[in-house]
Amino acid sequence: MSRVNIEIFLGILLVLITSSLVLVYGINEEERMAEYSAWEKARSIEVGAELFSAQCSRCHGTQGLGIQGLCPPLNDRNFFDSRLVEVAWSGTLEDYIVSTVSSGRLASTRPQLYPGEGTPAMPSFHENYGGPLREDQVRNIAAFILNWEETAQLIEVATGPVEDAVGTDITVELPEGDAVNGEALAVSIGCAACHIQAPTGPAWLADSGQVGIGERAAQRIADPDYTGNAQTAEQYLLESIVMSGVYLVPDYQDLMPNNYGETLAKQDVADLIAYMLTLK
Amino acid sequence: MAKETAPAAEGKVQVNRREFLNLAWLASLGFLTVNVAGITYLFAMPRFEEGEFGGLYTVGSASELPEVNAAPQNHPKVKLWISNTDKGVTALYKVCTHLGCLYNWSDQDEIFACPCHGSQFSLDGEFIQGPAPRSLDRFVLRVVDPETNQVLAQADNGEPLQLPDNPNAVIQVDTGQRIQGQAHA
Amino acid sequence: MLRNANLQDLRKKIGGMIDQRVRAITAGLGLNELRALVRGEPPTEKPNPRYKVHTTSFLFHIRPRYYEKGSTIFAHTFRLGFFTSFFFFVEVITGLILMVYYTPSPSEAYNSILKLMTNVPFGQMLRDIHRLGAEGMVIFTVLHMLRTYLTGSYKKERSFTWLTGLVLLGITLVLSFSGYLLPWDQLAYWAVTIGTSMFEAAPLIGNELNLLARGAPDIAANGLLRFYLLHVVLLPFAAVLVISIHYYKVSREHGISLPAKFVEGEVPPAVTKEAKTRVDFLPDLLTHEVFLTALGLFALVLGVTIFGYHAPLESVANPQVTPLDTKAPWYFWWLQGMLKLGDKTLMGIILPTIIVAILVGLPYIDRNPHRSLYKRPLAVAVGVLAVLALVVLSYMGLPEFGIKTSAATRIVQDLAPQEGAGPVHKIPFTQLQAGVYEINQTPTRNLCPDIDYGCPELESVFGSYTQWVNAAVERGDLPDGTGVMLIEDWQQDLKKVTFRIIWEEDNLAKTYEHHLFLHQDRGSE
Repeated sequence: MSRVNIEIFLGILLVLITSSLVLVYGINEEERMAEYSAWEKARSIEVGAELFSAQCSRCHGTQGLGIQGLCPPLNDRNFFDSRLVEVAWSGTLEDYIVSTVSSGRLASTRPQLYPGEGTPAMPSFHENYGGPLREDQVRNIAAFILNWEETAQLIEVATGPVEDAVGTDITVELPEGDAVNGEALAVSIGCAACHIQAPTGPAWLADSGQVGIGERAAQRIADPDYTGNAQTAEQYLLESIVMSGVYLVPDYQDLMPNNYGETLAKQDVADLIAYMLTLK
Repeated sequence: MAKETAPAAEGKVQVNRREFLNLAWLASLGFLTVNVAGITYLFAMPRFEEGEFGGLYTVGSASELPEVNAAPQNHPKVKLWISNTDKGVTALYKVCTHLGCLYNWSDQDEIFACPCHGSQFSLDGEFIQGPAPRSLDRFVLRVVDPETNQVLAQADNGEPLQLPDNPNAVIQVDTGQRIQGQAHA
Repeated sequence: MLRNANLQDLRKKIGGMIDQRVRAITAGLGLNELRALVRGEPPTEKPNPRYKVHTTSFLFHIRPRYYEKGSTIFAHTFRLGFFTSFFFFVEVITGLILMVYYTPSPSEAYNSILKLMTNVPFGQMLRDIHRLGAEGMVIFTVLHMLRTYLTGSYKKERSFTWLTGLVLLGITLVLSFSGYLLPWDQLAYWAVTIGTSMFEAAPLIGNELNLLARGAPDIAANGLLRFYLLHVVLLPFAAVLVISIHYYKVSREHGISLPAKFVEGEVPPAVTKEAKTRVDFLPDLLTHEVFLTALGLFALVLGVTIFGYHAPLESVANPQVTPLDTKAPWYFWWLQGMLKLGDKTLMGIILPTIIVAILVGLPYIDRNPHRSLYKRPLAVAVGVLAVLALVVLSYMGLPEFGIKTSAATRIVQDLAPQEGAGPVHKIPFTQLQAGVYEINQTPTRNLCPDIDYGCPELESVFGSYTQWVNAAVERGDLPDGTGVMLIEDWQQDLKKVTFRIIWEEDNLAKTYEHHLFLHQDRGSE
């Protein structure tokens, strides 16, 4: 066969093979697109997990379980089943999450449960409203939160004054405190989020230049700038929990929930104080 | 004028190897062209995601529908009116069948009326009067069981759909499939 | 009999009319002539109507009527110029198609690419072909330039063609670079940020150049739009113009050069005469070109399907965070290598300008009138050295060369890179058994007795981690170093993997920690 004929013959083969490759590829297209879509959703959740960890976990908890009195739980059956009805939201849950994360919350929608302290109750996160996140980042966070829908359990929230609440009188007699239980409570009630894990409130643990809160309590009441009424270290600690606004440590703001007097039981507060006193 | 050299023989000349190969090549290139045309068509036809206009839109659960013979429910994002009448539920396309304006619902007169040229339609989309040539266009409507995703009922021809009893059943409208309204006499 | 005669006449008349129409469409080739072409037979008319096609038809006017036989030898041109233009056409066509779905705005660009990949049939394939074609075009442009240099085809009457070729090289590189930014992912954003920061190094006008290129001090909406317009309007227009000039000179003025040996008298005159025989373009060379086109398309589709070439897509561009191991596109690695050698202005602006000046002036600097390789040893040596320098500098441009990353960062980056897929990402989800894995405490075998078929990939990753940390400790990079790998169940289909390396430096305990989240549907992407 002459060279030209060979070329034509090869050309026919090449064209036919190319066409078949494209056809076979085309048959798998729907499946490939669905796979890519699933991968993209997976990536969205991964990025959302990272962002949630960095931006949201200090208030809503690393596993979205919330902090009593401060931030509502998101990894909560009620959140997925009845929150939208509660607030009479007409859109989807995703819209609700994106809206709240984007523009924040000027005031708590459930002040008796989550009084927080001061406004805004939740800062805005979308860059359009002065926050640090782009649109796609807000949506990724929403994807991560929505991924809890399958496994969310019912979170019991204390709905009001508790039996044997400690009250706001700092001279009240407290029972014997158990420091070990106090350490557990510090995490479950949420004190650790602001006082140990993040620098939102004065650090409890000893740090460079500063002793732990167990020793500091006594020092504070001796301070001439102290504006409270405590006479002993225990009273100081009690006062800072139930009457937090009376004295503010310099450089810190009045951000503590102001209803601990009603929501914490005497024994729990005693345990907490016992634990704090061990932090020297 | 160019002078044609005499043809080799009178009548048909047999196809030689080169000619055969060239014709086969032409055929294969034609096949490739058809492939490419197909790819271009599939590529260029827009596809819609759920919730977009042109795709599958979820109206809500049966309990959220308007009362029978009450004012229709407005879904502006997908250009949709949901009407609930004695005959069933209809998904009406908001574009008037006359020249493309969006018609409105009048609570006073309890009819749809188009502000452009005055066409009027009843709650279930039937033509009453006006320059429009036919009744309102509808979308394919279906009812889905939320747990099993099974289709419980579907209206493919634009007729009102009778709802099953389940108040939690989810109503979906396929805004990509539109059925033209019937021309009036 | 009368009816028969009329039918014959009618047939002849209709045949004549059809033949007329065909001649009008084909610029002078009648039905018989077309058949002769297809059959590979000589022209049926005098004068040869096939030549007239080249003067009358617009589509064929830029193609030469004939080639000299010697210039069609495969080992002379390797068809590099043809394939370069082939890739250009592929890029224009695939680019036009992709434009249907792309939006050049920072908030929309990445999403439009995602939509292309997930909700447009053949979207990924066209994107992959576009990317592969672009790389092919750059490679073939450079190879074509190298071939032209080695066969001395830039001398004398071809010097202007050489100049237009250099302009095309520049256009090709900028086309590739401007397209690089368009996906607006981390790879695109930071590679182009590095590249355009070269402008700032220009003396005197550096700041103005930077603002012109980016439309702002850093790359944002303005920059993306400018790059998009460059990529899609200005440069293609300029390319078509300069390609036409370049090719018109080749095809109509001086033709493809003959191999030097035929022209510079090293072979008997009979051979030279044979080399100068004319080969008509129609039909055989046209057939050859269609064959090459089929070959090129086949190679592209093969690359994208069987060989799995995929245009990369990292996470969306984050102007606040530069990922580790950021690098320029491969055809600029040589420049990045040069930058590691010295001052930004010297290495990035002055030296490249000098190189370009030498290339432009080459036909005038090179006084040697010969084209044969043997008679231009200096030119050949310089050419070989240039290629070597390019390769070496390109290697030096890689992040692995000359950039000191701390040992701990390097180890973790190699296992779980911030962008793209590393060994950790490839562990199947079911093998990510929650637990604490301590280097040198936890064995690297039999980690998952409770999982069916064990967890070989997890063991492999943990094994590498152990090995690398221990090696770094031995080298002295991580004195007293230990490491731990933590896997936690985060959500029902999400795991958190944390790497922590602790070592001692200046009597202080130092820690490096990095964590990532892995979802079940991550797949093999």
